[in-house]
Amino acid sequence: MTSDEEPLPELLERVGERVRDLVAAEERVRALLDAVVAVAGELDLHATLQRIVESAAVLANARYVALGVLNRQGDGLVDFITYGLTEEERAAIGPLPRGHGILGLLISDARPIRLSDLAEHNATYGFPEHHPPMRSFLGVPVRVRDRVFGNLYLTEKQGAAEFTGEDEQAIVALAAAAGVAVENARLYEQVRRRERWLAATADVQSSLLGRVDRADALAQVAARARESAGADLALVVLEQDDGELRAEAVDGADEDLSGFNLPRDGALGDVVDRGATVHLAEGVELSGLESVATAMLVPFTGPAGAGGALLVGSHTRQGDRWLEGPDLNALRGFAAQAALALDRAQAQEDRSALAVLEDRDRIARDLHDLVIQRLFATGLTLQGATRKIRDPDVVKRLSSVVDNLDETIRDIRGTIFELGRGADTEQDLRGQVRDVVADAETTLGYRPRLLLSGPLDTAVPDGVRPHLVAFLIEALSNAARHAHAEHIDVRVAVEGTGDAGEVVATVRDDGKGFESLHRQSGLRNLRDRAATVGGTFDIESAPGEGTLARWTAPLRYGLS
Amino acid sequence: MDPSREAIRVFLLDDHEVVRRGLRELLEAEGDIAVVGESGSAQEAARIIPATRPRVAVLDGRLPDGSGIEVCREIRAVDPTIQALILTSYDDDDALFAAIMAGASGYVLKQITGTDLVDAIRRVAAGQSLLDPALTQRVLERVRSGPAQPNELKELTEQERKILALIAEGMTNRQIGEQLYLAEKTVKNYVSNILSKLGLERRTQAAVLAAKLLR
Repeated sequence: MTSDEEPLPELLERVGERVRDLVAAEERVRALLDAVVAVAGELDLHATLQRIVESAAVLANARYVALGVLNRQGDGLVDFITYGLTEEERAAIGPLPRGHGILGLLISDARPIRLSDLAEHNATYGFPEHHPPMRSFLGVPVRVRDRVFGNLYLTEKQGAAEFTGEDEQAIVALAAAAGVAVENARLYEQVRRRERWLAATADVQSSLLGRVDRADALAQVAARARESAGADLALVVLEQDDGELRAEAVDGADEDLSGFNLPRDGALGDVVDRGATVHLAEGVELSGLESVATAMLVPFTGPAGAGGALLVGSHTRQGDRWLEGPDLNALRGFAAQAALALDRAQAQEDRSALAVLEDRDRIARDLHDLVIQRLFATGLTLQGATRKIRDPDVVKRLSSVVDNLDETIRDIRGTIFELGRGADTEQDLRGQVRDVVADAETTLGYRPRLLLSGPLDTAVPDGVRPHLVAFLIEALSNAARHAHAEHIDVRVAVEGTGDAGEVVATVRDDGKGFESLHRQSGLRNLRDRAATVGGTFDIESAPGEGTLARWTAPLRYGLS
Repeated sequence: MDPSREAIRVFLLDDHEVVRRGLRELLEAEGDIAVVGESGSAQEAARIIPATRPRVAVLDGRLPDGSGIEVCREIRAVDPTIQALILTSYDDDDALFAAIMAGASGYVLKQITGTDLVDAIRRVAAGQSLLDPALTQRVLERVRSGPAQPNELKELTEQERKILALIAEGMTNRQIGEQLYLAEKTVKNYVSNILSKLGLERRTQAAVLAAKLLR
């Protein structure tokens, strides 16, 4: 035994220490492996981050751990995942740290920092009120590929005054594993998003097939876009005939925006007018959409080729919510495919509309060429026969048959006219009068009979038309409100020639009639309207006798 | 019937035999009207009407093989003393326009009672026009005032519109030919074109939509 040999007890002590160290190191390695496996086992990004902070706490025996996620510029925090703080404590502290002070130091210089007391470091900013006391500190950057994704912050080493070098090594190792896990989760998330967009695109295509209702189809597009993007709201904005940009379909929050016009400036204008795709993150400026904090906008072509945009937006500021590359492209693809499907549905609708119109035309032609001609001929024959008959009773009966035939012919003419209307938006006087009478049907429960006679559109001066239409509306609504009639006959005719020519409109009902005229409101107004155009207005009525309102205007009104 | 007066000679053109028979019965019962001929075909009518020398020709506006309007213009170019009435199913602006285009003295609605065809024939035979000159004037103005006016008129060429204006003034094809240094046959072709462009058989909704979609 030499002099420099240690005494046995000390040696045993040292061997024991080494063994303990080895055991501790092995435990640490096992814990680290467990942590890495746990962290790598998650596919969801948020769950992965949560697992990282939990593992870090166990690994280094820290009371509090946080993971600060950097924004895209790398100069501030956008997310802050914590461990060890209760919901109440988190709420009491207030807003998440922005990345100043010691947190900022790690951001600007991405290297591990280990401190025994946070308060002693000169970069310390101090804690906000209600922040639990924290002394010992370990900060380690988390890299994803070569970019700093965020930082792990550990505080309050348990069972010791400060974090050790081993702790630091373990957390650095965990951070490396965490970076890979985050990358994995991101890739997985991207694949899932892409799948979601593909599914949404396929869905929208098949569900728009054969769909004819425009509002319905656009609502479907907005709904699928919002779901697939995981957005708070989605808008389909389309250019109207008057050049305005209108939110035609809104899904999610802000549904009361539907039908509103949005200003054609900023990002929306760029998308609609220049076909740009825009990704707006953090502090979005979208006029008319103040509640939106993050958004993506892509061009969207509406039915019949109207220009427009599809917008998905989020109310929260979350820089990495959508990625400029994959998400914007996915939305763009979705919008293009949906527009294509809409276009196809529209073409289909046009084709069936055309088929319906062709059918109507054929029916109208048959009614005219076959039915009216035959009725007319039959009537003429009957009338001819009547002349040879002496029995006045028979003559009377035949005459009433002829009158009935005439009435039927008139009704068929009306039907033919109705069959011919629809796609045509041109508003001639005949059409206006027909519309007024058709509208009255909703309040009356039946359609008044209408007889139009003469070249109304050539003969009735423009200045007279609004007054004439107003008379019909007023007279029909009076009849609907007061008369309790079973039948109403409306007639508008051109009568007389030259200077004596006038347009005569009558509304006759078989209702209860009335005795005194002055109680009827609106009559004065009608008389004034007639007087304005040099015409007349009278009303005849007696209890039980129904009412006849008659309105006339000269055809030469407005002509010199 | 006043035996001292000669019966009014009337020709009937309608593609429905029953209609012609009914009209013939109706008119001949009057005593002072003689139906001197009838036809169901536009082609045939244009050929035989001048030969039968009617005072009044009653012409259905639409026929399977042509238009009563063209028949009217043709026969009046040959014999301007023939007065014409257009028989129409619709009492509307197109009826008025058709009558003016045809150079007819008026139009009569296909209605068994109420419209007095007999009275109309007598007045027309006496040289009266049933068309309101003020309305004819308005149609004329519409034709002349050009592009601001109805869609159909926009489709006409300048020459066609010029011819339409002369038609609205009541000129026959021959007179128009003389005024514009055109052969009567050329004028006739113009009239056919104008009629088809204006779609006096009222343009169907299907045609309107199809045109819109093809645009």
